[in-house]
Amino acid sequence: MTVGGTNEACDARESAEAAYARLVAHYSAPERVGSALERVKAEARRRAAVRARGGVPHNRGSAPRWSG
Amino acid sequence: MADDDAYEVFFEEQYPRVAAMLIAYRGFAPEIAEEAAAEAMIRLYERWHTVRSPRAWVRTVAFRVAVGLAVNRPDGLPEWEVADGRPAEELEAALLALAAGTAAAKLPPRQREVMELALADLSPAEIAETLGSTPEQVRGNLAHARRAMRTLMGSEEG
Repeated sequence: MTVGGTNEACDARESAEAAYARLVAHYSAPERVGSALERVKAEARRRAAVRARGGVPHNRGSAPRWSG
Repeated sequence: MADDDAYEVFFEEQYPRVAAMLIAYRGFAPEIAEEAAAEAMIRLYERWHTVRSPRAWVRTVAFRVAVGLAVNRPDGLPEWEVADGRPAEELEAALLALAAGTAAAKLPPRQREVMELALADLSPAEIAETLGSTPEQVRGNLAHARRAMRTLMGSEEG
């Protein structure tokens, strides 16, 4: 890790922080975060139901895709 | 299963930050970040009453899931895996987390939270954003926590 970084490193860090703030706002949109929450809870319940039947739920592959 | 109200508040606050962290600071593609953040949140939902530090826990799990997803994609892991030696840092952080787990549990609550997030490889700026404080406060907490952990680990070894 570089100590006392260059101007380019500072610019990159500021750029990452700006991108982070923009993305947090994007994913915090009520319809987006609400939809993600419902899908997460539905998938958790599906896995719980599989376990209750003695099965082994797959963590990935069976899960819905999250784009959007 | 989770206490839905508390979990929902946590989800609405943290899911956007976890997905954003994976994209902006770790360089993952948005679809991988979204899937990894969601997968971590599913696993947290299943363990809501037993996870002691959910903010640190969910970030650690999301990062590991994202790595697992990325290695199976044609474009692979983000460039940092090769460019700046991060795998070694991740391994070192994981080993330190294992070694320091007992000592970290004995820290005051704020220092413990900051240290657990640092062990999950979050920067002071990310920790500050997660905890609603400033990077300077986080650096101060980390300095106190490191001193305390050195003392605790030293006294346990001796």
